[in-house]
Amino acid sequence: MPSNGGSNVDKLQEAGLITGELQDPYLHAINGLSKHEVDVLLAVKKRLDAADLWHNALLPEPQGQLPNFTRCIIF
Amino acid sequence: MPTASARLRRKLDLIAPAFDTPGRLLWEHPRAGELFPPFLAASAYVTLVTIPLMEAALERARVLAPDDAVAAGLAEYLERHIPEEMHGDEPGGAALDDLEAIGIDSDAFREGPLPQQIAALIGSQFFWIWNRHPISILGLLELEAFHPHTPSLELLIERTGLPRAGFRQLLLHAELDVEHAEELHRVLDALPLEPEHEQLIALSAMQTMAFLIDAWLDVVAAETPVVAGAGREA
Repeated sequence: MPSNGGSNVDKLQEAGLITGELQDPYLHAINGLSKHEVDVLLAVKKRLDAADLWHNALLPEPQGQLPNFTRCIIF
Repeated sequence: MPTASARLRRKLDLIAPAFDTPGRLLWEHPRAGELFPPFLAASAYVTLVTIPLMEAALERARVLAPDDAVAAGLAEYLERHIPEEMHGDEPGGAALDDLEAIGIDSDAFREGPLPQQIAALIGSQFFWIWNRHPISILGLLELEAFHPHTPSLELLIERTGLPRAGFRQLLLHAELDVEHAEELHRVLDALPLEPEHEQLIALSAMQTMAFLIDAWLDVVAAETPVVAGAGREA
């Protein structure tokens, strides 16, 4: 059940985060996002745009395309 | 019916490519060796406060536990997990040792200004713990599922030309966090989470990732990255 009036996809499309036709499971996941979660995604898009780094990178690329060294997280 | 951990991961799939972007820039950057120390430092701030954040969540969970099964289960998990994350006598001390090995003065690092994104990240976590529900800490800990991979770290060591000692905790966590993430997902699936708990955990994870993306981009997408304590020879 969409948590945000079913408009999450529209909002993300308007902001350029989504291009093309979405299918499940991502369609379902996006419809389930809260307003705050949508706002976080929009802020990330804006930040990447500011650095001219946006490459329609909302959805995962095929497995194995990216090296995973990138997560320099230590917990 | 997907599990709670599966629902969380599906949401985080949406932000994961953006979360990888700063690291990809670092990897491709001709000055990767120069940029890696401040890049690692940005996440080391979070490492320093992870134990205090978990302790705050544990304290709050214990208060709520008598009337809150989710808080009771969270307390049980944190009592187990906090000792696993100590890595020495001082929380975050091992991460500071790694920073020292690649030329960052840890005293200056502690005394320097906190990047605003990191301050916001830490403040958000404390706010959620005390004003929403301590289950929010699991969103921060979900980043354990985004651990580095050993072969990629070996390539990064080679590419940066930096001392291996600066990568000890990353190499360690490339192994440890596989199991830690699996355990966290078992906990998520076992707790009697309501939709509002799941929303808070997801928001906590996504917001944490967004703050880190922003902080890392300040390093790799800026001409002159600034980090407290940087500038010593490695």
